[in-house]
Amino acid sequence: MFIKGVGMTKFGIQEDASVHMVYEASIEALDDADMSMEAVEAIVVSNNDVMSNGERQRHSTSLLSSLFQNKIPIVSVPAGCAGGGTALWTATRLYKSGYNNILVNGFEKMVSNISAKITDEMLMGAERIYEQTEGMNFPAQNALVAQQYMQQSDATLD
Amino acid sequence: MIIRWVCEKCSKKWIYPVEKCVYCKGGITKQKGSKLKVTGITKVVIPSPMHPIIPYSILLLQDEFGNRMPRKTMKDYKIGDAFVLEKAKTKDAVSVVKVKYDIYEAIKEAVDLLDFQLEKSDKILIKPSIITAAYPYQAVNTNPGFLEALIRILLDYGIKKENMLVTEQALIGSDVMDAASKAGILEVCKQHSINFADISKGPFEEIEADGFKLKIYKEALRRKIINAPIMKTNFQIGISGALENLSRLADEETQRNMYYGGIDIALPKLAKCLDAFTVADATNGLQAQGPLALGEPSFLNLVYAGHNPASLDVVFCEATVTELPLYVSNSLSSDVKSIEVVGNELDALKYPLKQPMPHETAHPDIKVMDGKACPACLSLMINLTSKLVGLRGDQINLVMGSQIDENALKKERVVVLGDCAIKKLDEKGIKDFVKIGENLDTIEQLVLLRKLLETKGAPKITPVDKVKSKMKKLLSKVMS
Repeated sequence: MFIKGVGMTKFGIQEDASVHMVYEASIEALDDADMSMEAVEAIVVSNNDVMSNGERQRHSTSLLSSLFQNKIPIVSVPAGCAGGGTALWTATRLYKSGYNNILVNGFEKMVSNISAKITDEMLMGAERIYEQTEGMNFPAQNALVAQQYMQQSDATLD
Repeated sequence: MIIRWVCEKCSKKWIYPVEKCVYCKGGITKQKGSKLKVTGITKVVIPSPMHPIIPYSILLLQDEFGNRMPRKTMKDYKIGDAFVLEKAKTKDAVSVVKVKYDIYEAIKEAVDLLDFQLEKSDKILIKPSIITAAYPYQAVNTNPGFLEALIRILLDYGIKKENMLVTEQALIGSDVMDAASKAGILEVCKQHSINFADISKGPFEEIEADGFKLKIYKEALRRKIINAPIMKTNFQIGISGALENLSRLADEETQRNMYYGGIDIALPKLAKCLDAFTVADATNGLQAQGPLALGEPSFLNLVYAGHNPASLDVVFCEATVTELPLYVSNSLSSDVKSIEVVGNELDALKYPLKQPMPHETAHPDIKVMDGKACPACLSLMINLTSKLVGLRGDQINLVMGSQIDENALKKERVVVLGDCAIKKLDEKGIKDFVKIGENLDTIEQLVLLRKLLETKGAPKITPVDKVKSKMKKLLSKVMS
C-alpha cells in the first residue's frame, strides 16, 4: 500500500467555492499519480466546514458526487482537526477490504467571514455546556493545557 | 460547584448524567465539589457572538475531588486563589446560574444564593408561563423539565404535594388545558400528583392599587407565589419575563383594562400587590419575534432567581443587551445600576439576543402597527395572519391596540384589528376606517381579511363581503 500521487491547493484566503478547491487538489493528485478518475474505486472525504462561509452544502459526499460523476462509494469521515489522518486511516481499511485505488480528500474553508463569527463556529467543535458557554475557544484551551503541563513539569517558556 | 457522575464500581466519571456505567454497568453517584481553587488562568482577546465583551479570562477551577471545570470571569485571579460564590447581601438581588447538565442543581444554587425561606406548612402557588399550545422545544412556555426540577426543590423544603398548586391561564382566546398538555406541563403535574388549575375559571377577588381596580385570582392572594416564567423577547412590550407573567394572575377584564389604559402604568401597580418569588426559566428562552411561536429558541442555558420581579427583568435585559421596557423601569424602586447580581458576573454573561422586528407578522404581506394591544387582540392577529400564510396580496397594515400612533393610520391600506383599537378610535371620533372586530366569528374574520389582502387599492368591506363571510361561517358549521 502506498500513496501514488498528491495534490493540494494553496493555504490562505481563497474565494473559490469548495468544490473548485476539491477539483484543483484532486486533478493535481491524479496527474501526479498518472491516473484518471476511471481507475478510482472509492473516495474518502473529511470535512466539517463552517456554517457562515456561504457554501451551505453540508452534505460533502453529494458535493463530491456531482464533481466526479461516477458510481463508486464515497465515505465521509468528519473529524475536525484530525480529519486528514482519519480519512487516510479509513482509506487503508478500504484498501484491505478490496478497494485498490482510493482518492482521499480533505477540505475546510475557514477564512470566509469576520473573525468573531468564525471564532464562534470553531468554538462549536468544543463541548457545549462547560467549554462553549465559558468562552473557552481553542487557543484558550491549548493555553490552559500548556500552563498545566508547565506547572506539572520543568518546562519553561524558553 | 463542580458536578460529576461517578461509577460506584469502577470510578469512571462523566460530566453529565448517565444511568449506569457503560463499562462495568455499575450504579452512578452524583459527586458535588464545593471547595474550589484556581489552578489555571488564560486571557481571551478575540470576541465572538456568545462572548462579545473582551478581554475576559478563563479560570481552570479544581475541587476537593480533583475535578476541574473552566469558568469565565472579568475579574483578576491568581493561581492558588480560592474561588467562592458570594451570597446576596440585598433583598432585590438577582442570582443567575448556568445550567451544567443539571437543572435541579442550577435552580437550587440560584435559590440558595438568595435569602429565601419557606415553612413546611406553606401553601404554594406555582405560576409558570403557558400562553399557547406549543411544544417545549419552541420555548414559548415554561419548560416542563424546569417545572419538574422546581417542584422537587419545593418538596426538598418539606412542602406537601397537596399544598402545591400549579396554575395559569393562556392568552385570552386560547385554552390553557390544551396549552399545558402540549407543553408537557400537565404530565409533570400528574407525575408528582400536584393539581393544575385554570386561572380563567377563578374565583377572583377585587383589590385596589393606586386607583386601579384589579381582580386577582384568589389563590394568589392566599398562597406564596413562586413565579416561574420563561424569559422571552416580546415584539409588543420588549420582553416577557417575571413581571409580564404576573399579569395573568388577573382576570380577563382586568387584563384588557390594563392594556387599554396603558400596560406601562398598570403592570407595575399589579406587581406591587403581589408577593412573588421568581425562579425564571432561561434554560432555553425565546428571541426575535417572541412571545409566541414566531420567536426562535435562544438556548441560553441559564436560571434567574430573585425576590423582585422588576430587578430580575432588568438583569435579563442587561445580560441579553435588550432595551429596558418602560413597564419594567416604572416598576423599579431603585437605580438600575444598583441591582446586585450574584452567581455570575453580568459582563461575563452578556450575550445579545436577536431582537424582534416590531411590524412583522407570520404573513409576508401583512404588517402590524401595534399600539400595545391586549392579549386578546394579539392572539387574534397571530391566528389570522398565520392562517393566511401561502396567499399573496398587496401589503396590508394592521393597526391594533389602544396606544395607537395616529401616523400609522395615514399609511396606505390600513385595517384596524381588534376591539382595543376600534374602541379607542371611536372615542377619538375617528370613524373612517376599515375594521375587523372581535364580535365576529373567526371564519368571518378570516374571510374578510383574505378579501382585503387579495383586493387591490383602498381596503373596503362591503355589505356583500359581510354576507359572504356569514355564509362561509354557516357553511362551515353545516359541514362540521
